[in-house]
Amino acid sequence: MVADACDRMQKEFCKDEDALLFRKFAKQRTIKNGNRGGAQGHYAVTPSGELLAASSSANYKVLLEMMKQGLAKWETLPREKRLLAKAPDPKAADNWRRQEKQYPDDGLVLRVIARDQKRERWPDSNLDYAWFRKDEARDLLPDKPKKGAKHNVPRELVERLARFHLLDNVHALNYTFFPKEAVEKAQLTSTVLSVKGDLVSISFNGETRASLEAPKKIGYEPKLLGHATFNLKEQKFVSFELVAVGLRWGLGNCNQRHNPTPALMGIVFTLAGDSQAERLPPAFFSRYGW
Amino acid sequence: MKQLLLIIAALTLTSQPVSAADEFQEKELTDSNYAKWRDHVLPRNWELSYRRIPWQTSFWDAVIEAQAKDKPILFWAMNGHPLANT
Repeated sequence: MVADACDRMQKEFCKDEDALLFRKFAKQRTIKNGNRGGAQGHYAVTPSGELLAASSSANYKVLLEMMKQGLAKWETLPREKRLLAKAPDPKAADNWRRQEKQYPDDGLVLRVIARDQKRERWPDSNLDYAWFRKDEARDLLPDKPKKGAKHNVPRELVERLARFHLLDNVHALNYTFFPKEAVEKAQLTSTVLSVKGDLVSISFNGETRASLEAPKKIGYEPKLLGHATFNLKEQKFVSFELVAVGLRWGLGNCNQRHNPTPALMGIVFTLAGDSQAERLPPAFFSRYGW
Repeated sequence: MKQLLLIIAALTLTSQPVSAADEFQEKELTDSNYAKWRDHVLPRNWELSYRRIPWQTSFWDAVIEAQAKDKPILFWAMNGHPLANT
């Protein structure tokens, strides 16, 4: 069982080995109902790229039937049809998985969840990740932390949150991020609440505003509050919460937002785990400039 | 079969809407409603059920494993990674 993005693989110009295999079976698919667009959906396939069955429905009954069909067809195929003639090369993936290698093991990785105040329809929340290098994570609190000390988080870090993470992706991935010039406010202050041994407790307070008029009229103006604990000895955060709430407006690109009227949206940042799924790169990581 | 049942259970649960989200009335973020907003936004357990499935996160890794084990592949493909921003 595998979940993966197909944006890159479905493009005809992409010659990566996984993409060539993907398009081999994706082209064979015929969807009568509920097509989600493009090549998105569920596939039962052989390692050789033979299509066994496919669906593009969110209905679990349809998926169950698809899996049964796929297993039945699998049983009918001879080994030479099921498998690739030559074993796939693990190193081939180095061509398209460069971002994963920049995972900040010694930095800060946050899970980012967005949800509307009032639900328009299901699904009504989405997930992304935000990455900080070790030095960037350390820049979230004062150099010499002592109780009461205040620290302005470097604008470039707050701006990065505003541009690539404080986005309306509640219903679907939003390809519209904010260019630098769209960020009108990007301010975040950390205050040391206590220092107990190696543990520094801090609070966050701030605000951002990003607004774009073209090609899409879209914006978000949240207030930010939060708190976190930093371990000075290990030089890493052991707890982290940042909550953003404010008005969002406009429509994004492909984000399935149908109502542009300003409405409240919340986004919460918390510590991510380190499972394979939690190590996925942020959607706009290529724009980080790392 | 065990994994098949896990997928079905996860997808069934993920398809269920909740009413609590419809009742949420908090407005501007303040220190006093911070926890309410945080809890409103964070996913409920049932919303995370699909993540309990031991998905591989790379199609190519799945091909390598399936080739070695002579097994079929169940592939969930989306624009944006299905286990992240999709």
